[in-house]
Amino acid sequence: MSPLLTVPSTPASSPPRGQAKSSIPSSKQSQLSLVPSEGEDPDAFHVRSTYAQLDLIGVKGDGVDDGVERTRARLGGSRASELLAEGALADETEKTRDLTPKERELLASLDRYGFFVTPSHDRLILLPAAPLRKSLARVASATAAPASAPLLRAPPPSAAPVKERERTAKWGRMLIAESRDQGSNVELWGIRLSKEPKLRERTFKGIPDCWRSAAWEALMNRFTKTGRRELRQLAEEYRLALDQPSTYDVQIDLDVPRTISGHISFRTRYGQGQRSLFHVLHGLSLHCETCGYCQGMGPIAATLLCYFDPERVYACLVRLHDAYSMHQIFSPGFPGLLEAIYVQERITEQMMPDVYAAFKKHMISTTSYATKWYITLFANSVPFQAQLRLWDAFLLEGHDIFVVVAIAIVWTYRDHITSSSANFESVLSLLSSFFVPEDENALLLWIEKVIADKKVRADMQTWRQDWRRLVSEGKDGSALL
Amino acid sequence: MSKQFQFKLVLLGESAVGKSSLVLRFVKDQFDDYRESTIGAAFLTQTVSLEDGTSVKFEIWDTAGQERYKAPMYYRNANCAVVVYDITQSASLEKARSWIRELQRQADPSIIIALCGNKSDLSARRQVSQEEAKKYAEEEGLMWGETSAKSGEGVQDIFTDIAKKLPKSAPPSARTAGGRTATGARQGVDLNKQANATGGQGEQCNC
Repeated sequence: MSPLLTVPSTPASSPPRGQAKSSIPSSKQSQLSLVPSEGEDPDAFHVRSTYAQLDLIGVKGDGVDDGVERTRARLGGSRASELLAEGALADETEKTRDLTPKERELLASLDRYGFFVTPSHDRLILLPAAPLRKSLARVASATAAPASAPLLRAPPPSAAPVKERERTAKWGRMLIAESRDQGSNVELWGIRLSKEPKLRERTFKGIPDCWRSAAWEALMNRFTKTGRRELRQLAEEYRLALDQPSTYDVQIDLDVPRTISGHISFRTRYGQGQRSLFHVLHGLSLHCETCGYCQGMGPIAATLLCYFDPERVYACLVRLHDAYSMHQIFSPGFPGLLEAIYVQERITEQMMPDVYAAFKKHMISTTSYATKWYITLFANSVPFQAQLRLWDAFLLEGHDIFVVVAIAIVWTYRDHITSSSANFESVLSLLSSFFVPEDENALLLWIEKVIADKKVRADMQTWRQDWRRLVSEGKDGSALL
Repeated sequence: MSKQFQFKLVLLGESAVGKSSLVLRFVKDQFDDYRESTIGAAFLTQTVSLEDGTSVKFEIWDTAGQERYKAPMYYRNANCAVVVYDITQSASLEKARSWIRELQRQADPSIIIALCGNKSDLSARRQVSQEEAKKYAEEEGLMWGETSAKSGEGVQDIFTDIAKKLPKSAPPSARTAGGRTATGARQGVDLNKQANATGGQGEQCNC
């Protein structure tokens, strides 16, 4: 028996059956064989079974090679394409062989989070620190500033987190294992009660990356008030979902290979990262009938996969959906997005009336630049390290954080927006950019101050209620910029 | 000084046919094998210089392909639309047809529509013949062309052809220094309107 068949990443499913049109050459087909569910679209089944098959076999050069497309493009009937496809499957030596010099070189070139350093084709601009040294307050903006911010040619490497060793030790004392499995591995992390008063400050200073998975988990448990029982339930739900068909499988498969493809785990077509991403999105698409799968879930799931195994990522996604307002964000019509935007506009109007007037004058609707901020939780809008730090705060505080992040960006560029030479194009281009914080700490400190301001927080609550009232009265149509 | 005209252009089409890649090629002459899926819409501009000395500046709205993000605000007031399909996916031409029907019903009647078959570098996997697409375009009175965002083939041509075809009788630059003119109407998607509108429409997402 092939050792490859012992990989238990996908539960055994239906009994084997002949496969008519498989993307896997017959000589390599494993014993696992799925059958289409009643009414399942053949293309969707083809996608689902391809990922399941490759979960058992593996692909060659995972993380290094590009891999071969098997679902978007069906394999041709030619002998050459069949050989190519067969050559891209893992063989027995894949996991035991030594790395080639080229592979070593490639691994050495990755950044600390696993990304290849490649030129970006986004519009990169610096998010300067100076404006963030001034706290949020009602201000008048200048008109003499230039309309645009200087473009960066390439993102500078993110500065290494400060005092990482000390903070690692502190987090080590702050986090406790709340439960362990039979093998004594930590199953559930929590925050030591005596350290609770320090939690907020330490979280905004940045969770040390080596503790990030434990800390995120503890923050989510805390925020959602869930524990071991719920996690076990969700693990079971995930395993069951893997065997169910989803009408979103084809769409998910279209998005998987283009989701953070600059990261080594997600680079190779049908590599382990892509398969995990497919499985968790497939599971999530079945969790809520209203939301199903929505583009934007991918980068969120991929970020989580950098820290948790797929089963736990599924549990995280469900908790984001259920308890961190993501259900409202992803529902058709994006009601949660519009609510966040309403709150963002009220804060802008109150604190930066000149900026609000400029948006009005240039007829810039907030949805045209902020939609992707709220839907992807700033994945793809800031460097990965900055995104992680925003998420540290998000998992502690909830979705309000992203309204404050949006305000921070508008605050930082306020003089550009109100510039006398600003126009529709300059403002929209500015706010559609990829933002590289000059100083992540300055950004996080600014956000921390705003979110800790009881007046601001209470206003945000009131505005959320105002928005819901407008919606229920059918008066929301003209309430946004 | 040459005259500059400004027009709003919207890209529409099924998910993953290469809308964002076409724009990246057109605006920056670059290509990524994998582009992240577009969330909401992306805004870019590019200017095309024509032989007659005029230049056309496109305000480009590159839209998300997933049905969920569909919002009429993007094509409302658009002067031109590029409806993209993938020549290796026959279903994507069907989706293009439905976009074109919608534009013909709902968009400004003077809108110029170009049907664009992308991924011509993958002609070995072709599912949509040139004859079929061309015939359909002729029947509907659309411009038509094939492009490869990957190799760059045909990309400049399709935007230049649109630029040539756009009426230059409008006053140069539809925008004054102060903002949009009255006819320019406001830009940007209004998902709010969409949320209200979806209730009564037949085309819903799969939920």
